[in-house]
Amino acid sequence: MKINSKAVNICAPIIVIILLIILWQIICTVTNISFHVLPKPGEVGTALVENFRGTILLDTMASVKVMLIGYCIAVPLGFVIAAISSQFTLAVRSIMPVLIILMLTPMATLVPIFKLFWGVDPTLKILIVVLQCTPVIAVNSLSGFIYVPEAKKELMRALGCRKWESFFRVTVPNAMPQIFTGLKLGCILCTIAAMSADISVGQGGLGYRIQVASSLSATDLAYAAIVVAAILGVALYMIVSVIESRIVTWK
Amino acid sequence: MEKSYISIENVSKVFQTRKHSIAALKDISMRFEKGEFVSIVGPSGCGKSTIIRMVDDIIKPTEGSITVDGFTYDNNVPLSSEQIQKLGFIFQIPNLYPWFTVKENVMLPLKIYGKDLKEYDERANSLLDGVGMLEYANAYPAEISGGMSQRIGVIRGMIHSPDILMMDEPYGALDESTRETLNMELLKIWKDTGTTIIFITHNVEEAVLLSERVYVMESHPGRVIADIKIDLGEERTLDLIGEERFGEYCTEIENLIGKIELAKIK
Repeated sequence: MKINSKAVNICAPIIVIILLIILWQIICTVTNISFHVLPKPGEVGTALVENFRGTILLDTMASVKVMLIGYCIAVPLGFVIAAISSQFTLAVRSIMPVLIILMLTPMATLVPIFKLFWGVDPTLKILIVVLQCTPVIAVNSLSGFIYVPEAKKELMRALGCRKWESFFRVTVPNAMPQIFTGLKLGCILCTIAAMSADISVGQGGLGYRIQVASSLSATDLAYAAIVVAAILGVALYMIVSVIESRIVTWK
Repeated sequence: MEKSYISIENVSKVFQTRKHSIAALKDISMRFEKGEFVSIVGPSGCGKSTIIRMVDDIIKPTEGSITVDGFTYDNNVPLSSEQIQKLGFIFQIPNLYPWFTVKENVMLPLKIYGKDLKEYDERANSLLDGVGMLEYANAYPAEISGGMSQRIGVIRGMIHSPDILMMDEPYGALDESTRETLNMELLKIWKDTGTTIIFITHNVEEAVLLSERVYVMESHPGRVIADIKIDLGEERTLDLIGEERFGEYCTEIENLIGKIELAKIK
């Protein structure tokens, strides 16, 4: 089997995950660590199955809703902010630092302030996801939009293209690799933001379940919710990666 | 005075950098008649590429105006979209878009000009075949060599059968034999189609072999110092290179360029 074959690419990470689970089991058995601190993988699995219909499925649905709505708003919003600001040098210089500051601010920390304005509203969670994901998508797209090689732009001018035509024909495809970097980072931040929002705002969701289960010493359920949250994040990331491989076919 | 097919009149170009303004061209006037094959030679930095970039309206002249087939444009007036389709530009580098396949790159000007791509399919295939690239039509630029990319860049400039073809040292990166083959192919296209060709090169032999006229330029700032008619007849083949008159033309131009370089050193 070749080292870069498709089968190796799929099997290798699965084997590593299985080895880590085995290591987890060994640590629990050897150290005899308390169930309330670190339950065995089997116990987490059992908690996942037993609570799936009762709580985890509902929490997952709630988190998926927040993640997807937030992400679907953040993507066009980040793209439009980047597209418009890329057209003006002054806008690039003034907006880029603001976007970087926003990107680095953990939005969940703003929840207490938001609560003062709007009270506890479920849409607050979506707002947190949007605020966390938009800057990273905008910053990466903007970086792609502003670094177009002069020769590529010259060809458009030689063919008599207008500025907007040149933007869609050259600037956007040229920026595709950076745009997808932003979209993939957005997937990671989207999961983190949704979980933080669940914890800060409450009212269901996997993050809320992790917090409640931990405080009730139902550590196996907390771990089960963490596993599902991780799977959600990975799934979103993989969907975007598959879309990238279909669009950026020339690399 | 009656205007030529292409007239560059009293054109100057100043490039502004953050700290300096660089005079690339100073009061240049050139004329090109319909169907002529004219080369522009000169040392690096003499503004050869800047001239054809201005003719193609890629960059604007600081002063002066350019007329192509009766249409005059300058710093304020752009070249009309109708006129621009008469022009073809071949870059020094292949300048292919990596997200398009080889054939899509070749067809790009037609797509932008809103032409029916199906009508040109046969022409595209024939041009690709002519440069030995038909079997790579669906490959991406990253999958072919630099020389192959350059050949694609050349035929992209010709796909829409332009009346005027501007070539900016198009074969600079190619090996000697490919270069000779493509030069002979270019002469054939020129004879068959009557295209007006402005050819930028730093290779004096290439300029003399291909052209009916050669403009010689000097640099800092770029100026025309000679306009030499190359009277070597219509039949241009590689055999001309050994002939005495061919050598005399080359020596005359090389001496002019050499004098410039020497003058700069002194």
